[in-house]
This record gives sequence, C-alpha cells and structure tokens, in this order.
Amino acid sequence: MSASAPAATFGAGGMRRYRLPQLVLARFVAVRAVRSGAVWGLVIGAYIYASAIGYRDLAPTSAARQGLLDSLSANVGLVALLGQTPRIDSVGVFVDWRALGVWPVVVSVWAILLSTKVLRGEESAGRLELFLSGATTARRAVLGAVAGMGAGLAAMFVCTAAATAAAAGSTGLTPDAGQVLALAAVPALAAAVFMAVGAMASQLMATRARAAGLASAVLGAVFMLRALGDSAPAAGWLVYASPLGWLEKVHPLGVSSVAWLVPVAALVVVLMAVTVALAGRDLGASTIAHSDQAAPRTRLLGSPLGLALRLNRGSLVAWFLASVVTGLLYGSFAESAGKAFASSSVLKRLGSDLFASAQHVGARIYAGVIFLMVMTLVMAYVAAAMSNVREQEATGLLDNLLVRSVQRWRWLAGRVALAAVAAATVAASAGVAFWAGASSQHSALGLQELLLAGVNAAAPALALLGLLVFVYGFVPRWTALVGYGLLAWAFLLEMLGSAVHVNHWVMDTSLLHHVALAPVVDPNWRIVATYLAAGVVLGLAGGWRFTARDLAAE
Amino acid sequence: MSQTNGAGRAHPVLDAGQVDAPPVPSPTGDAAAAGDAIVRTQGLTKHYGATVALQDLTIEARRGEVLGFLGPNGAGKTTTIRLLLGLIGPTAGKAEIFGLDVRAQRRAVHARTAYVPGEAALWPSLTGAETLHLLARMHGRTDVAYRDQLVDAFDFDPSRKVRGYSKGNKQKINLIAALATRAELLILDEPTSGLDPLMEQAFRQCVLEAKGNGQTVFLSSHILAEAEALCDRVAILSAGQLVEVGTLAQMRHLSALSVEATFPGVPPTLHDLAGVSNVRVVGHQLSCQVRGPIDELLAVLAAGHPTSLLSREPSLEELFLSLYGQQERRNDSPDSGGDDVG
Repeated sequence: MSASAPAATFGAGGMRRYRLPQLVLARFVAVRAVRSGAVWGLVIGAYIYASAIGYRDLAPTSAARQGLLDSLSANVGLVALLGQTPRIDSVGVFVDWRALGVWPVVVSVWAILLSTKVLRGEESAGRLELFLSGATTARRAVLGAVAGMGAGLAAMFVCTAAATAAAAGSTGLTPDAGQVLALAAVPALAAAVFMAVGAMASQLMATRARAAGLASAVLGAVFMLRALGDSAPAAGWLVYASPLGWLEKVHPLGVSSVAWLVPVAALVVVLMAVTVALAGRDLGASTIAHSDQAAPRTRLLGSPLGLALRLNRGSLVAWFLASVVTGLLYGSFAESAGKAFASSSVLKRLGSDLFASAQHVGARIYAGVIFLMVMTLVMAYVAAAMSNVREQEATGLLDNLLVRSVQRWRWLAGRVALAAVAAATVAASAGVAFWAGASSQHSALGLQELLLAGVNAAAPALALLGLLVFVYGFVPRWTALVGYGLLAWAFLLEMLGSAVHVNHWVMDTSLLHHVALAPVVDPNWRIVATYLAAGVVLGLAGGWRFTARDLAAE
Repeated sequence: MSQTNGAGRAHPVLDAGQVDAPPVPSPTGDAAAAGDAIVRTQGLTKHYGATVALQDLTIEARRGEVLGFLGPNGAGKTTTIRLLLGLIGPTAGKAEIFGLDVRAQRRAVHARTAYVPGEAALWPSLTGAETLHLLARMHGRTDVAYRDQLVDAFDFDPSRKVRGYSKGNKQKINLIAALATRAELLILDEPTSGLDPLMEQAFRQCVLEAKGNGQTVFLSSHILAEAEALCDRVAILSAGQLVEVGTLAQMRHLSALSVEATFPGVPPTLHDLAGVSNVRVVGHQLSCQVRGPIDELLAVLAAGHPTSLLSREPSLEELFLSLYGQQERRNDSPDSGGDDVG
C-alpha cells in the first residue's frame, strides 16, 4: 500500500477527537436494528391494510357482521390462536383482532434473535471487548446496545403508524391519531418486552444459543398462558399473567384500553434495569454458572453427520417438542372450532378464502389453518438449518473437516439429509399430536388423514431446502437471506391473499400457495411429488456446484 | 520427545479407542514417481476479479525437508496454502502433492497430509478431548500414545470446553491433532500464533522430530527466528509473487555482509571501494556493509592495523527486510502490479 492510501481512505489531517465515544455502540447497533425494525413496521402496515380490505368483502352488512361476531366468539380454536374476539362491529375492531393476534408474536421472535445476538453473540465472538476497551463500561455498553435496539423499535413504531394512517382513507378505517399510535405501540411494545427478555437471558446464560433458548421458552410460556386463558373460561385469569394478554386487552381501534400499555412498558423498564444490573459481571461470564469442564462424550463424534447431530440435538429436540405441544394444544380445540366453522357461513367464507378449493367445513378447516402454520414453522426450521450450514463455512469450521478425509459432497449430503428428516419428522409429529389432542375431545378427525396432512405440510419446506442448497452451492453468502426472505414472502402472501385479491402470478411465487391444505382437502400428491422432485434437482445442482467451488469464508 | 509405536498408555481424559497404526512416511510411491518433490506447484495463480492474490508460483518442497514460506501480510501465503489443500481452485497453473492433483485427488492428498490453520476455528461446545477425538476420526488415523505425549508436552488440559480456552490453548488443539497423525506432509500456517515462548520451544522440538522421521513440513511463518531455526530452505513471497527461494546460505549473497572494525588511530577511508556502503565512523570504530567480493575492503582495513575485526552474515530477518525492500521498490515503480491480498 502506498503512503497516500491511508489518507485516501480515512481523509487527511492530524489527531481527531470524537464526541461522545460511549455512544458508538448504540449507533453501531441502531444502524442494523432500524433497518429491520422499519421493514417489520411496513409489513405490519401492509397486513393491516389487507385485513381492512378483507373485512369489507367478508362482512358488508350488519347481519353479516353479527354472524361473524357470533361465530368468532364461539370458536375456541381461533380464540386460542389469535386471542379473544371483541365485539366486531367495525372494520377497526376486526383489524385489531386479526393483526394484533399475529404480529406481536412474530416480532417478539425477531426481538429475541436480535437482542441475544447483540448482547451475547457479539460477546462470544470477541467483538464486544473491542468496544469495552474504549471509553465505556460493561453497563454503559449494555445501555448503549439497548438504546440502539430501541431505535429499531422506534422505526417499527413509526413505520406501522405511518402505514396504518396511509391505509386509513381507502379501506374504511377511520382511526384518530391516538388510535393509530396505540395500534403501532402494541407490536412495538411486545417486541420491547422480548427484547428485554432476550437481553436479560444474555446476561444469565453463557452462550447465545442458551440465551435464545431461554427467551424463546419464556415467549412460548407467555403465549400458552394467553391462549389457555382465552380459550378456557375457568382459567381466564391466566390472561392477566401474560404480557401478551395485557396487550390483547388494549384494542386500540375498538373500545380502547390503552392503560394496559402501562404495565407492559413498566415490565420493559424493570427487565432492562435488571439486565443492566446483571451486566456488571466479568466479560465472558454469566450469572448462571456454566461449567467449562466436562467428561468427554465421543459417541457421535465419528462422522460429519454425527457431529451435526451432536451440535444440533438441542434445537432438534426443541423443534420436535414445539411441534408436539402445538399439535396437542390446537388439536384439543379442533372439535369446538369445527362446530363454530360449520355453523357460520361467514367463517366458512373466511376459511375458504384461505383455501380456494376448500369444500369442507368444520374441524377440517380449522385444522387446515393450523397446518398452514405448521408449514410456515417447518420452512423456518429449514431456513435456519441451511443458514447454519453456511455459517459452518463462513466461520472456518468446515475447513477443519475438509482438510481431513471428509468429502465435500458427503458432508453436505449429511447436513441436508438431517434437515430433511428433521423437517419431515417435525411436520408428521405435529399431525400425530394434533390427532391426539383432537381425539381427547372426541373429534372425528382420523389419525391417518392428520398424519398425511403433516407429511403434506413438509413439502414446501423440502422444496425450500433444495432451493437453498442450490443457492448455497452457487452464491453461498445469500443462503440465509434467500431462506428467510422466501419464508417471509410466502407467509405475507398467504396472509394478504386470505384478505384481498392478489394477482395469481404473484401468489404463484409463494411456496405455500400450491400445496393442498390437508386435511381440508386431500393432499395433492402430484404437487408434493413435484415439490420433492424440484427440491432434489435443485439440491443436486447446488451440491454439484459446492463440490467444485472455492470455500468462501467471511 | 521420542517417537512411540502407538501402543502406549492412553491419557486419562482422552480416549484410547481410535488407534490406527501410525503412518510411516513412504519412501516410494507417488512422490518417488514425481522425483523427490512432495509438494510441487507450476505457475500457480489465483485472481479474485481484478485482484491478484498469487501470481505464477512455481515451487517445490522435498521429502523430509522443512520449507519456510515467508512474506509480509497479504503476500499470498494463506492463499497458497488454501490452494494446496484444494479449498480453493487456481485461476491458472497446477499444484500437486505426492504427485497427486490437489483438486481432483484431494481426498487421497488429505489422507496423507495434516494441516494447522493460523486461526483456530473450533466448535465451542465440545471439550478439548472431544475435539481431538473428532479431528482424529475425520483425518482417519492418529497415534494415540504420541498424542498423549503431545498433550503433556504442550501442557494442555483437554477436559475443558473449547469456549473456555485461550487463543494459545485453541492453537494447541490444532497442533496436537495435526502432529499426532504423523502425516507425511505437515502444512502449518502461522502455527505458533498465540503460543508462549515455552510452547514455541516445544513446537520446534516436534517439528525437528517430524523432520527426523522423514516427514515434510511446509511452514508459513511470521516469526523469522523460528524459520531460521527450523527451515532447510525458505521461500519469500511478496505481493503474490515469489521473490526468492533457497537455503539461507544461498540467499545470503542477496544481502550485505556487516563488518565492524576498531583501530588504534583514525580508521582508514573507504571511499570508492566497490560494494561498500553504509560506512560509519565513531571515534576509532568503523562499521560498514559490503556486497560481493571483500578482498579490496580487507586490504584497506588491514593496512590500518585493526585491533579487532568482526564480520557477520545477514540474519534471516535482514535477508527478509532486504528482499522485501527490493520488492517494495519494484512494486512502487510505475509499471508494477500486485495487490494486498492474503
């Protein structure tokens, strides 16, 4: 490098002094958090728009609205899924129920991933100490990181509010400014709660995986408390034990109870205060002691596949348990949900908007909604699994195997086979668990049809897996982006498509759109076979390319 | 540290169940067919778009020698090693190890090669013992008794999880795993990064033992004293191009000889003597450097009746700096290429 190169890069000049160096970490985190927070805000705004349009079509008359209300309030399954149904007498209340039942949970997952990455992942990678060696302390660094993530939440809040306000005129929504702000505050505060939970878990646990696992378990428990409290009258008090239950009671576009935002905000403050207090620990340590000593267990360490099993067994078990618990819980609501569907022409329409070819009603429609959710979750698992495959290469861990007697194709085939089997197992076990839950309530849904529905639900994930192997083979750095991007795109289209008319060419780009929604209708095995064949062909092409290309470390 | 037969006692924390017969470097076979070159590159070139990482590298590492591979940051050392390991493919040229193409026959090459990366990327949730077991299984063989000796020699505690190890301890895992394979070829990329001086000594001992056993060592290093102590030959790389390769003795002509003399009176004048430079006179002491024949200089100095005369060959560090300086001057010339890629 010639002498003039540094000047060209950094600019000429002598010693510079920077103001507020303790805010560097906050700005560093904010740049990334604002980007993703803004995207989530816009997506929520788009969903609100679509829901408002959909309501006009779904319940154009007063009688239709009353029918919708009666049906929804009687549908225990939907109540468990989306929350208690308020008196739906306006488009605003419908949007409330539909949008705020889904998005607070989705953005909470994002918040957990973000906060555990920033507050534990960066520390484990050794990057945090670069900041801590500057003009700051551990507690100030945590505060700075929290402020940066807060900027992301603010971006989500502003974008949700702006998109909602923009959608108001053309959709029949007539919220005032306060209602718009309250509506935008609900998902932002849900994300804030779980950002704080993730931040605290990052102080308690020694690794990011454990911190994310703990925070996810808290989210799962809080969701279950809300779902059980809403669906079982005798346990209605459980809703008050869950921050998601508090947020459910806000109803910003209906009979507004914005006072429920106060305890949520207070909880965020308390959790953050505890997090900052815990942050005075040694760098690399954790509040919950974590032994670095262990007796060797080498049983699975004889092959690349065994290594993958060993390293991922925790997440595999977690995904399996999550599918079983979800299946059991929602299966147990199938009978009552089915009755509500069967008695409501409006709900039948709501269901058939989701599944264009559906002719059936009742419990099968409800099960179809749940299996659509299962499909999305299994696709999320596959996206995460292939992101992990790419990470092995990016961090240089793969080098350690490939410079020994491990063949590239064999390593990749093992990882892909593991992901495929896990995806199919998670989907099938959700089907069996749904049957077990439904059977406990004497539902007529059979084991075979639900098992096949589970297998059918794995098809989009397996096609996505093949596609991601292709991307990994040709453009490895795009693997995670394409995986999560296609997942979000498919989910968004299914949600929008259930409410508004979306051009079929656009809908065709969704991996979820072509698969028959068993058990509403029988699985379309030709589609399943096509998905699998496409996945295999793409996977083989990607695998072939991987064996020949340069390894690309970060 | 002596060589074992692989049937010794097992370490209390490490397992004993993965023993394969320790490999004996083959004096014949593929390498013999390729002459005595274990590593051979021919016009090896790697470009990343317009960036030249390595240009036209032709080099050999012979059986049983320690070949030092030196160069400043971004010279192309790690690129060369990744090409040799088949992790990346060349833009032009070819590389062979044991007479086998490193891309087309990389599995066969890897089975007889051990590699130590400069930066240890290991699985944080595994313990040291589990990692050694895993790496041994992935390689296909390890000398268990020798591995246990290495664990002791490097003062390594294998019972801890990798996330709890310092950088030096992580590097010990890579070193122990590689050395315990007793592979015919050891490719070491900055292998002592993070090791303390005592461990560096242990490492040097291991490399000398490996050399004594007939193993070939391809050693990329920034520590010139280490290369000077271990290497039979050194290759110096700069800006992706091979600047010089040879034994230290062969390369010493590339740098000036240092001469220091003390005189009873005023030191003689050395103006206009061919090859003499950097003349300094402090009181009765004179120092200078000389390239090429020294007869004329000696004659002038002897005429001054020196009370002491000291001449010293250039160290590897002086050679390196001299060569790197020449290359830098060439690169700074208007028609030069070369980019800063490692």
